Amino acid sequence: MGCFAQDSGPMPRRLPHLLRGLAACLLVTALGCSESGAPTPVDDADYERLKAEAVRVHERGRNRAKAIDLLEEVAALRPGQAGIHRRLGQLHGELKQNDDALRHFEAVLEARPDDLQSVLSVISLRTAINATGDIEPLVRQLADSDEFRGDGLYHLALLRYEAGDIDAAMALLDKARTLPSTLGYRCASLHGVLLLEEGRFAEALERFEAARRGRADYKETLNGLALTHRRLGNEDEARRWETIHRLFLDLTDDVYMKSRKRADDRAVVLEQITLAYPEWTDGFRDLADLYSKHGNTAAACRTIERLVEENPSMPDAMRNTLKNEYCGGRP
Amino acid sequence: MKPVLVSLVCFAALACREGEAPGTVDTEPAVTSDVTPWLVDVTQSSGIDFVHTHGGRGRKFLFETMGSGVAIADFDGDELPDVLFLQSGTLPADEFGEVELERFGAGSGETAKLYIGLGDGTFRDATSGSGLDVAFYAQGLAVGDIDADGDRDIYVAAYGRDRLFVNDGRGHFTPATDAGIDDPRWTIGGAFFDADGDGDLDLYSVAYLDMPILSHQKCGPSDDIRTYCHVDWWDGTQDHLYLNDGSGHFTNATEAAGLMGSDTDVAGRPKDGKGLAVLAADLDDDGHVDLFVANDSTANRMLRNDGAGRFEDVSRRSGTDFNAEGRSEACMGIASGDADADGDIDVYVTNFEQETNTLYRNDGDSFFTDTSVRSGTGVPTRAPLGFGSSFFDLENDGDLDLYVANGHIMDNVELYSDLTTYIQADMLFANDGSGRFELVDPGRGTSLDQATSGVGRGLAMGDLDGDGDVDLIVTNNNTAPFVLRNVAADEAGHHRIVLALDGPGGRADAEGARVTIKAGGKTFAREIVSGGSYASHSSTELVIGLGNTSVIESLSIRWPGGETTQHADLAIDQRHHISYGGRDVVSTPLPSR
Repeated sequence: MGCFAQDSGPMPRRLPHLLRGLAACLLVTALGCSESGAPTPVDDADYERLKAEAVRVHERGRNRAKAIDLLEEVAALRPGQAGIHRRLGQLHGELKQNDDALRHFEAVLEARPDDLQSVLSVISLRTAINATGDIEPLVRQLADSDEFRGDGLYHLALLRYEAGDIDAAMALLDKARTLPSTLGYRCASLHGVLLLEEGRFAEALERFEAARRGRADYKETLNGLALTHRRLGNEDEARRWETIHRLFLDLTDDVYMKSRKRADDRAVVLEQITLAYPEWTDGFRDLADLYSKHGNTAAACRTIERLVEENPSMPDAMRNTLKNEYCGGRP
Repeated sequence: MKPVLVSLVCFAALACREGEAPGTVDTEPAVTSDVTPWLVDVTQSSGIDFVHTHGGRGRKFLFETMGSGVAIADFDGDELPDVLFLQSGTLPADEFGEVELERFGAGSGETAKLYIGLGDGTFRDATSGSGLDVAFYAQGLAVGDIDADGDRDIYVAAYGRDRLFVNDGRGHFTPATDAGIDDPRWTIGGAFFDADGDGDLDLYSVAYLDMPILSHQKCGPSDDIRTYCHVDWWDGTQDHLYLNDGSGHFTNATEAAGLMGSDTDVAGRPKDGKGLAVLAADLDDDGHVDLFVANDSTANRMLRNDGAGRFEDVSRRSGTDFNAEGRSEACMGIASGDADADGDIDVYVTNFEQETNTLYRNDGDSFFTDTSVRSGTGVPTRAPLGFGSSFFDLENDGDLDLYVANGHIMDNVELYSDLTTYIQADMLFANDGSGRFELVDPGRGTSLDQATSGVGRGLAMGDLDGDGDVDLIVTNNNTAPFVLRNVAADEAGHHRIVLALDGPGGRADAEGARVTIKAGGKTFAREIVSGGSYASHSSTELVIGLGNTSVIESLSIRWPGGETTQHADLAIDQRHHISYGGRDVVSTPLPSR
């Protein structure tokens, strides 16, 4: 329950739309507002400086609240810049501020209708707020693309599924079998969910396994693996996937988990995940990065050494690059 | 031009441009009609004038958001339903320190209100002298005959000390100060049920957050806007099981029963808890009453009872801890019933906005499957924030429909979101008989002008006017409730029976009794469950719709304790009061249509 964290806590503040306008106005207080009420255009150089500062704060990643405030100011001064709106959409989306995120991604599409990543974001956000009435053209735009074909088919199937047309959803998901696993993992996972609902457990398991080959940390898939193994009587496998799934929930479900205050907790969970689920190589990298960020280079190096050990087939070049990066060049 | 004025002009100009909503929320109903609403708001004519108050003064203590519950039960022994509304708003001076009281304020001083039913859907205020006119910060309740003297007693969960009120049989209550359940932590509700099979009613009390007044934080999306803080700011706290010694004295048996939530996060903080609702029902059809606990943002718990008071956590195995996406949801309330008419009890939980409510279909053998999307009960609920919820047979056609009370927790949410509102329309879903539901047009479903009136929290069901169909009461946070009279069943004119089942040993109700009916080509189950919904208690009388069929092929009652009796000879369109074990049946006709 609830949406917002403590003011002084790690969750960035968000300005309501109306107040954001006021902020933009106050920003140009030195110049004043025009008689019409619109903010007076600022000097190009001042504007560029503000924009550069906003982008710098965003890319540094330490203060999302400040980044949002600065980027909103930039967006308010010169609306319609796809890059700024995209950054704001991403930031608000990370904070689950879906209404703000959606507003900015839709602004991106106004400027650049072919920005498929933003098309996907708009579809996802519209789905999250149950405003899917007119999104099918956007979904088809994705399904017709190469890079986002899997996402397009997934959302098309989801639309059919949510409309109660299970057969059509199943047919679309079946069609997605030909996609490379990294593109089709959401289709495979949703297929697993539908098959599980129908009690077709062996088929569901096959689809969940296919989904995991495409993406190893997708919670729906991990949960599906646990549930289908349980239904099939594979108790050990069920318990393993339950544990792994639960660890990922620990990592992602608490809104404060990504805060600096909880860095130690995050490290502990990542340690547990890398032990329980070494196939998820991203976990080693995340953990090593976390240790590095907090100056614990020895732990970072140890983590990378474990990654290398767990993956004997890793190419030498990658192995050496990682060791150079995290272990100061130690072979 | 003065700076302030400059700002305001600018503010208005930008508001016009930026205030455009990015998308409209699709909760378009599937069923539309311009005929009479099926549930008519009769609050004013019912004699019920209760108004809830949360007592807040703008400092945004989270407990102000929770509303409080309602009970529909016969408290004065005349076999007519009475209504009890809990009241929040006041922190008792004998429980809270000076600093705490200074922070929150003196409170409203308002108390619960007890209304005695007159049998025709109207009520008289009987609060004064009832013993329930005590001001404290009540949240939810459980109703049950804890001392087996044939009347219904009341447990009240509170922010502050929980209370037990013992009934003298005439609707006068005495606080039981030595009952052993005066938990000072923040609890939301509970359920009376026979946990250990000894014939008396035990209590499961559901606890929410470890949130002392002095831990209160100032939260908000900006310096200018203050909101209620996120639930993750506080730890959850352990629910309790209290075993009854038979005389209404309770012992905390949580640990012995295997109910301790042992799961902790990496920082050693309890990972479970944050409970907002509990359902006591026989979920695995083995004759023992199990538990389902809806937790806010943490995994739900399904607890299987071995019949002797020991519970096994089967949440993970059953698939009810998370939704199909593998995520825990912010669960607020629970509905239960045989939604797909296959003879077992399905479970539905209400959730936060941007989460669907979740229907867990009972597949038998303690396995459940999230069928929210497939059943039609999920997608329309993504936008609103659901609390109380119940399955009920709207038009007495033999299948269970569904009512969901909605309302946001942030009373100023419109200040920072274009996509939602504090007041939200409740939802009525119609079952097509197969377990597939359609959202009913609000204008067809109820007569409520919900655009201006509802912040739904508690929900209770019962036949308030004695006409053989289910009516509803919805509590709203910090405002008046809705009393909704069912006219859909009157219009439909279907046959029905009403069952009032006595419990063992003189107990007023047979909590846990399972009724299985075969009629009109259908076989379906009804159960006297405890808890469920949110913070509320529904009548234990079972109103069983039969559609157009006038023949009951079979009707079996599995009583608490395991005995099963057959009652295919019960006359339709009558209310049957059946003594424990089916030995005596007193039948009275229901009004003809």
